[in-house]
Amino acid sequence: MSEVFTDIVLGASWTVLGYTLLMDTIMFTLVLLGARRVAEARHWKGAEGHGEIFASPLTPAVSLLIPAHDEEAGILDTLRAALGQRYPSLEVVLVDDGSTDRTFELVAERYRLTEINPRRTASLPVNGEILSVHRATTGDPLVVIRKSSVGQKSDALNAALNHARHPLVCMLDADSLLEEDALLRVARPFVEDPDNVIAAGGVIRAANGALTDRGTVVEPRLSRNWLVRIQAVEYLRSFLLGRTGWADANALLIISGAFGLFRRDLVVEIGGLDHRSLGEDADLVVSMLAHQQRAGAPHRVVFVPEPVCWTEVPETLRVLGRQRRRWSHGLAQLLWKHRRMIGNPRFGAVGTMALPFFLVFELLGPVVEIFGLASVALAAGLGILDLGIAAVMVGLALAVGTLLSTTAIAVEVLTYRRYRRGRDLLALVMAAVVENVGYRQVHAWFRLRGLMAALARRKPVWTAMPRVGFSGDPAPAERLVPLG
Amino acid sequence: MSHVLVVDDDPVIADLVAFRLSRLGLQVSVERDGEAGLAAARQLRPDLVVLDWMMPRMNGLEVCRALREDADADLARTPVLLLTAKAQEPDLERGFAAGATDFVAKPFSTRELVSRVTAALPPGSVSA
Amino acid sequence: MTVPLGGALLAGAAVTALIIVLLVAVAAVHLVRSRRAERDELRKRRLMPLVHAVLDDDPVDSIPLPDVLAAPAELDAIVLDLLPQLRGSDRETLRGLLAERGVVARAVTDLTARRSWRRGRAVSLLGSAAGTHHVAAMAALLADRSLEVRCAAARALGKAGDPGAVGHLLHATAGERALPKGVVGMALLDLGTTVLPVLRDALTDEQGTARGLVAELLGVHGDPSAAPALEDLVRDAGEDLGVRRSAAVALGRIGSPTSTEPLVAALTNSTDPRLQRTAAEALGRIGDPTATVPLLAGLADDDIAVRAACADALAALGAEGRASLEEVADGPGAAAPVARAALDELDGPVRRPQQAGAA
Repeated sequence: MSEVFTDIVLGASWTVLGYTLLMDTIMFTLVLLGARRVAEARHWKGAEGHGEIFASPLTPAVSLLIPAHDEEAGILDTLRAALGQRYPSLEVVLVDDGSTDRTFELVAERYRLTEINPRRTASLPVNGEILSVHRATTGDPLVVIRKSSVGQKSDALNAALNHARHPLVCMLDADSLLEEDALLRVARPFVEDPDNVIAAGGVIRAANGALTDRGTVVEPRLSRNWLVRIQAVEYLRSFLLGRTGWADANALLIISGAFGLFRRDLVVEIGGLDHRSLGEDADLVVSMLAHQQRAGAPHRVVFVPEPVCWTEVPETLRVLGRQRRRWSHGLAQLLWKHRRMIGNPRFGAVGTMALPFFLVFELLGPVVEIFGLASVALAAGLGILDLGIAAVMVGLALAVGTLLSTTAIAVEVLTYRRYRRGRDLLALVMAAVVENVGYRQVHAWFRLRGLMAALARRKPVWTAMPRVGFSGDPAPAERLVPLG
Repeated sequence: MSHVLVVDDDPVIADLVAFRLSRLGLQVSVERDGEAGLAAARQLRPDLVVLDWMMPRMNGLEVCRALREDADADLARTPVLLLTAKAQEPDLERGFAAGATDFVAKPFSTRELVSRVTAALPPGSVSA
Repeated sequence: MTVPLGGALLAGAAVTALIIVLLVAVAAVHLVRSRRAERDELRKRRLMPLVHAVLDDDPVDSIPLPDVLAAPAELDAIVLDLLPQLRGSDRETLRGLLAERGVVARAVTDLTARRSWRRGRAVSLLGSAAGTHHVAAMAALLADRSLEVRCAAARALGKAGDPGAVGHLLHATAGERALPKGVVGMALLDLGTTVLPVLRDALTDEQGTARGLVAELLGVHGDPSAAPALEDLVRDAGEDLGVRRSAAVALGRIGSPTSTEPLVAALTNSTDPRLQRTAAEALGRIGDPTATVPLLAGLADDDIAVRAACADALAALGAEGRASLEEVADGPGAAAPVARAALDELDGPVRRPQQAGAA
């Protein structure tokens, strides 16, 4: 056995370990900062003035844009929740993106749709064919656009943007459940600071397992599926991260496509959503920031640290893998498209902090992780691995990872307390431990494949996730209206 | 004795309204969400319904429309008073289109509420 | 190798200990909070009859004062919750109760607290509970070092209802510790119509941001006496576009026919599609049929949003506008689709293109 080769393998293992610890430390710092801010915000509870915004004539009207492809299971609930938002003035623009099921028929029947001549407010390019435009005759502010699908959510959203008439647009996934005040909370920054705010987003959580009733979450509960539980922890953690320095430094990039609010004129100005992008939501935020920065115009992207939207997350590894591959692919596209911004101080904290962080830890993370696992395996195979040292190091990495998630859970308990049941909290803590063994590695593999797909410039495909719907037939558990 | 049904998801408001109306010598029932409110209206057949607009399960407008479309002609004619913070011009239009008899805008005054309830009930229903 | 190994072991142990401490804390807090929430709920329910009695017009047996004063602190929470939902004499009664209980005095001391959230909560409380007393102390917080406190102070001044706060609020839109425009706007709106004369003066006196905001507010109030000054703003091609747009929106809301001329000029001569669109929308709101011809011309504008706004405005001009719109809708021109869409909005039967190829 060559001495050099042994050194390389061992060196690689150590590098990977160091990288993992560094990443966890950075994340932990961010989580702590976030926790501090959340705790601070708690003291203000009740003194923020939501009521005023609800009743103010200065509150801008919102167009809720909902792309739907084969969503018959949950579409009526989603529409009901959207139209039932506690918000002074809104319209819903639903795009039936080539559904082959009864999505359109259900909506047409419930809202007594009538066909109208389309009233377009913008002319963004749309690849699919617009088949017809309808309006509700039940008095609900609902417009439905039927178009042929080209397999892209961005295309459906651009079609909706062409017909939206209000100054703010909110993009909503058809499988999301909104809290009643969701729009009001996320629109608040626009009302208060209309000259500067260009986008705002809120906290998104995993909805699976929650007790729901026709489109609203009655009581959040945790699913019995471990994959879902781990994702619930992931969501808690990542939104707590988003709550931190990123937003304060005006470096917030990800306003999730599951629930984000944007200034319509700006979205139209930059040409709508990028057809080629798989991460159209993140790409939109970065493009808007870049556009404003180049134009020398003021811009703030605001993160509202309150849970507003509950989304259905994948329940099987296969679907999860598809989703995460797509995300990673989208991130790679985004970083490549905006590569001139990375490290560029002209773009402020987005250029110097956020984009480099995403590049080094999000995009390249899986490469290092998989590489590290391989080298450890190799070292073990060659018999040059000191099992004692390896065990201690792996243990340390595991502990730090768990600490990260536990902190996120602690913040949840100390502040929002959306999960009321003790056993849900216990399950969350267990999931936080389990996540580090197995899930994390499989996840890295999914992301790596997404990155490779991006490198191979494979044509992106938007595949919808199979939906269970939110209030269908009761599935196996003791819940009233389970998510399955 | 006239019977008033109060439907509001905010227990503090619902209780306050119920108390003030009961002091007028009216019989008052309280429900906490739209669905329960509609069921109670069908069962109790009140002389007047005081409805919040924004409620879980079924909002005030939906309850109002359901009442107006009820097969029972008497029930369909029940006066409905919307008690809501949504009282700008387009909201008034939507509310009246859904069949509301009258509006009380939040923030409200209990005296105004009492006057409007008295006006919406047949003469002589209110003792004070 | 042993030194890093020892370090790692130590670090691992420390992290694990931290996790355990955290978990225990979480469990404890969860239990305590759940119990306390239940207890508070119960106490509040017990206190409700007291609040009802206080608010009763014509108490059968008037509540002796000590009862109200001796009630636990939860009473304040209920009253503060209820206060913004009530107005008139009910609000006065509750304000009096809070003052009696010393809640207001405590908040006044808290205005200078070290923690920003204490100052913020105190000023919010005074805004809803203290009426026009303490306005000077509240206005001082408009220059607070924390943005959240400044916003809370502005909101509170709006609720307190003292017209004298207008100047403070308008000046707070500029400078190093500026307040976001919307927060100031909502506060000014809360002050109601008594402040209209001050706002009209501000339209000519104030600077950029403040003027646009004032124009918007005068429109929301629908103040006809402000129309001439707003018309001047719309006419002034050298004026900031944002201010001109706000003025145009305001004129639409005020609805005076004298505004038709400057709005038509803005629609026809401006090169900013957003100003053109707002002008068209305002013309629709005013509903003066003399705007028909320029709006018809607007149907051929390059900008799709301007075309749609012109069509909607024509539909709102009554019989004359509608007739001309119908003519366009049935014709072969490029403007036919927008015209048909606008007519659909009027709830009429849905119109289809009549000639093949017309759409």
